[in-house]
Amino acid sequence: MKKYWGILIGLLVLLLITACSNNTNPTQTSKELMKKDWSEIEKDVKGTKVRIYMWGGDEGINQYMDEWVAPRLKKQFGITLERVPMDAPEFLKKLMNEKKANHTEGNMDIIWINGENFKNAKENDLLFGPFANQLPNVKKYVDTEALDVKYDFGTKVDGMEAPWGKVQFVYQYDQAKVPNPPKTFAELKKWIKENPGKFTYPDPTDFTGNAFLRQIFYESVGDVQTILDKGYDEQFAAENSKKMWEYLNEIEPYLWRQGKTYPNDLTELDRLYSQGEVYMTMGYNEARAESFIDKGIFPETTKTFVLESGSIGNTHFLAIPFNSPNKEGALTAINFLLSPDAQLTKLEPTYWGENMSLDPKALSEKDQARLNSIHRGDSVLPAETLKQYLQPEVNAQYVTWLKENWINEVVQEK
Amino acid sequence: MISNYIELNNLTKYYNKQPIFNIPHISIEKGEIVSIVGPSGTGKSTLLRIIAGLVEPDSGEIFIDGYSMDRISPQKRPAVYMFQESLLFPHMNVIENIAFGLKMANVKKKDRSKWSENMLRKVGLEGFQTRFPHEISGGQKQRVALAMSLIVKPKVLLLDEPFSNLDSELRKETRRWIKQLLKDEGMTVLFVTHDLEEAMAIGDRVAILADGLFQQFAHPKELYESPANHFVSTFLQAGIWSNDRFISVNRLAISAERPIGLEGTWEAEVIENYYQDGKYHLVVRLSESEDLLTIEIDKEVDLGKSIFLYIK
Amino acid sequence: MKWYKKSKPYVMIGPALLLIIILVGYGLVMAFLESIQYNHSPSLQVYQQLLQQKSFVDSFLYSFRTSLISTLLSVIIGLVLVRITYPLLKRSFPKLMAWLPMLFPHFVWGYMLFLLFSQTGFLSSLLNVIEIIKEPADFPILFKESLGVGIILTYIWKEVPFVILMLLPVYEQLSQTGRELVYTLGGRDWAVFRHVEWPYVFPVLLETFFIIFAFVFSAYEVPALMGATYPKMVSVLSYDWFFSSDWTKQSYAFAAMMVTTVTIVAFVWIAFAVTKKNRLHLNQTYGDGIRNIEPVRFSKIIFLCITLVTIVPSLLVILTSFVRRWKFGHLWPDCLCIRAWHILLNYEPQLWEAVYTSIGISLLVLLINLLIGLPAAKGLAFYVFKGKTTMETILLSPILIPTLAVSMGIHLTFIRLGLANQLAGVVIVHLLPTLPYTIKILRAGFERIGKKQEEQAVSLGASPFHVFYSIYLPQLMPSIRSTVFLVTVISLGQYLLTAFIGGGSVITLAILYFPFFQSADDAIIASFSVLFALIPVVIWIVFEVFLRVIILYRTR
Repeated sequence: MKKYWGILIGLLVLLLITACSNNTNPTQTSKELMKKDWSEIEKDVKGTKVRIYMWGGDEGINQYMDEWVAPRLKKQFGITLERVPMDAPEFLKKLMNEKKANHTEGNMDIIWINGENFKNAKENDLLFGPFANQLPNVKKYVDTEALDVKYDFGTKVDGMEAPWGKVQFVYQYDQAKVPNPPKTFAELKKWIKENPGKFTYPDPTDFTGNAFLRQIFYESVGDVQTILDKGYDEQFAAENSKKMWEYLNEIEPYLWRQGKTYPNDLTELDRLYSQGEVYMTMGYNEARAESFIDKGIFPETTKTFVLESGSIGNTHFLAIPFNSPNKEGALTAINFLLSPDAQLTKLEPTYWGENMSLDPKALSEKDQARLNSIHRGDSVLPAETLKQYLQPEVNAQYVTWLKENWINEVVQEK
Repeated sequence: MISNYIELNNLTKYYNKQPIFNIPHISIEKGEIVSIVGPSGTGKSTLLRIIAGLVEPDSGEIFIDGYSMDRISPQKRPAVYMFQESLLFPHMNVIENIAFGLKMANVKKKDRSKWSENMLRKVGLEGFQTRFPHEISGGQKQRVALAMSLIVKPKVLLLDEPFSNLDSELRKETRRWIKQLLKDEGMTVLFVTHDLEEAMAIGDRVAILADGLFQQFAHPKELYESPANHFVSTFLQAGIWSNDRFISVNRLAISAERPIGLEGTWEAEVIENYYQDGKYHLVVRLSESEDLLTIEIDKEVDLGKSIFLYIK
Repeated sequence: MKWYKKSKPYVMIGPALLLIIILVGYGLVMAFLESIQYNHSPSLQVYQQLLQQKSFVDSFLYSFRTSLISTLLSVIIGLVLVRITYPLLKRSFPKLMAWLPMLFPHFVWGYMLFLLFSQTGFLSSLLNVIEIIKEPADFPILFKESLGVGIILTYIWKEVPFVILMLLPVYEQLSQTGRELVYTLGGRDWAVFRHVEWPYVFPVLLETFFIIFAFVFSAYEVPALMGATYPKMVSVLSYDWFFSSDWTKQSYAFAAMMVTTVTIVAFVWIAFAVTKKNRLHLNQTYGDGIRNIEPVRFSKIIFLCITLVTIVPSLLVILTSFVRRWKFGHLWPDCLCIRAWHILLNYEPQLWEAVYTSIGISLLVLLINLLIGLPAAKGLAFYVFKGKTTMETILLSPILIPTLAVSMGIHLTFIRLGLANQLAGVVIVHLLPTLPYTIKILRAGFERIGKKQEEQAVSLGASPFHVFYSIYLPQLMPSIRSTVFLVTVISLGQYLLTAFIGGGSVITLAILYFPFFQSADDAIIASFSVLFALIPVVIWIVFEVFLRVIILYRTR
């Protein structure tokens, strides 16, 4: 049996050798790095690799990154962009563990996050920065004073992440089955009661389901500004949420499957909608229906609506982990992703169809003309309508609060 | 050195701190067939496995042809151990089984097939080359197993109850055939069995192993005529021990009534009677010692009857 | 030399044992430490709160119930199937049919059943077309309801083949003499089963039972896909907590997983203790007797059923991968197109790399499995030594303990060892969920062959290499085939461990595939599923070819 030991030891040694052959690069502090001249940074990144970790469940987004962004980064800066499909909670757990193990040489350069994930990352010192306000394209095109750029779910951004895109919460419906979509929550309730089993919303542990709840919460409180002013206050939430729970309990028996169960996530709701089991679905990104219609998953008669009480707008960001092995590359790539060309292409329905994070007014005339010429699709509401009902996000802790109390107030109440 | 081709010195083996056996000294001549017989559970198989090197003894030495077997691996020992149920490798056909040992010795394929064909002929199984073990009978398997062992020309062949899977007729036929073959080959053989008759028929000398000791190691005739102790005589059912003296069954006669005026008489009960080879055989149990005895007589005696034995 | 001889079984089992102790042991310790973190000071407060929480207790009982029902039904159905069809199942085509569901990872299979049995699924559509039901709502609700019918259904469907895999060898080697003895003594089939088969079947069945029970109890994917909103399975609950954006929930996740682990281990331990008397040590003898190959009654019908049950979902998923839109009430999709395949094969540059990486990892995992597993299996099969039962339990432990619980500890270790984000790390960590099966299967194989053949060969002059090569290897082939099959499938389906340890530097097919489950794009999911199932088949073919070459060489 000695032979086996030999092989095993040999293998282990081999593994250790390959494992230790990483090139080690002393971690630069943001100050040192940001002192460097931008042109110098862009020069230094030639021939390096940048690995971006992002949710990979949408073919359009993936194609935008792989087919449009990656070749241009290669050509203009000599950067090889590697897209790694992974969910934010997972790569943050990974990052947290690396922090615990004092692993200063990680393998993630850019991560795509927002909201609670950003809050966790920021609070646990998992991010490199501040860097955002030093990026040339941020300086030039981003309105850094806008609330949805300054705050991410009530957490101060402080330049630790750069805004990549904005989305707004809208409802999708099948025009063939719903000729007159509701305009307020009261009308929605009426519609639900008239069409039992044809509406539901995702479990609030889901991102979208929680946003649906938050909007009722806003309505229940009466005014978003009050919530924003209060900050996170459990007492306040408990006192002002009665209307919300009443509303939810009132519609529950008329929901899909009498509200005995809810879709676990937006995917399930989309599937129910695609099968015609329910007549409405919902979600962030005002243009999300377009690609589904295009792929034949949603019926062609799909349109969108917003409620007059408001629709939450949400900004998502790009950040750099503390142990990124190629911070210059990350900065360069993020700056590129915030360029008007990249942002306008992202807006076009070809790949992604998502709104820019740039301030349209700051764009050059040429770019503004291009912006105006983009037709986002028939299902997308006009920009003015969207803007009219736009509401900000509130403190991320409300997300958790709603998640937990929903189980007690709505599900267990029977 | 001819007289002690195989030598065992002070061989002991323990199991759970209990001695299984303890053999002070045994030597076996070249070409001799030695039967080892004894009740089951006395470590007969273990002894063979120790000689083959499959089991380590706790102490003692083994010499084969003058060489110590200490630290010689079972592969290198000039001894081949053959299993109880004439074990063949089920995934190989007859000729592959026979040639196995040669292949292990890196014999060239050409020689291998020549020699194994030759061996196949010797054991009378021509035409069975490509059969698989499950396609041949028990007796045929026995022959293949023997061929498999003989082909590597061991100095010692260790047979562990080779006939235990065969029915009695086939057993007798096979044992005659095997003895002939082994003698023709001049093979030195240790043969383990619990069947006394088989041991006597095959062995040039017979060793009786019991209670961890070689009770007696002698020619069959000598065993019957002068057993070394009470155990041997009882085991052989060969006679009566009386006052530390052995009285062979040949010297005993029976009578229905208690004979008067004789110095040695023993009462006994008939527990089995059968007719074989032109004579009646009685198995009797002595009332005094509960020893069993087999006696040949001319007329039948009823089962369960009391009889008396006396010295002729 | 003496020491070496005495410690031989330990030396054989050592590598496997060491690997599992280091990985699982450290992982568990870390998990426990995490679970007692309450406001940054160690206390058992979290456990106390957890056990007082209604939703946790409900979840726990629900998990226990669901696992018990799925496991019992799988075991019973598997046993009955093997019992009545084993002469048939010995043939390779029926065997392949029966094993087909194992080719698909659990979540894929769950998804297939969803396509088949949901209210707007294929069956519902079919009933609608033949006018038994009017609308989707008339079809019974099987998924996402509080009884867990869909979960149980998926598990049964998926685990019955595994039961067959475990039981088939037992039946194949049962001798016919026992059956004949019972018949002679006037016993009927039931008596044959009770007295001849059961003593052999029982230990294997018990072990299979535990493996499935532990798996169902702690697995995440299927209940996450088709569970109800309330109650959730414990695994889903702890997963949600673990990955929740509220990081204070972290310790609850670990506490929940520790409770799960303790429950499973306690359950297994009690069951083992209770049945100790019944689990005879059965000397596995090589049955030389004539095997019965009597044809099974209704064998055609049974085979047809097995085929239907496994082929229909598979075909459905293939069909779905070519669908653009499949409306309820239509038996055939409106149009077939290759959009999904086109996207998959042309627009996914990482796909082929992922396929190669996955195959490479599977092969390496397989190789190391055999290298470590063969000696360990042999040691367990042929030696009696101190601490054997404990070692057996430890070797089984990776299957009994939720992966998520140990993954964090393992990740920390691997970062320190420099194995994180490395292919090597992924390979090593894939050994955890595979090695127990390998040892299990190979051990049964060794026991079936017995030790005597080795001794006979050694006596005839065979070196250890030759003993292995000429005696064990050819006869172990069926066991090795099962190992290849199982190890590949398990390794391929590992998402969580791969994502954690590979850290995105190692992209396997599972890593690419998993995010798509969060889109409603059925065709993409389906085409991925098909690809997923094809890889083990490819590996299998490669292995068979490799084998043919070896055998050719051996007989030369």
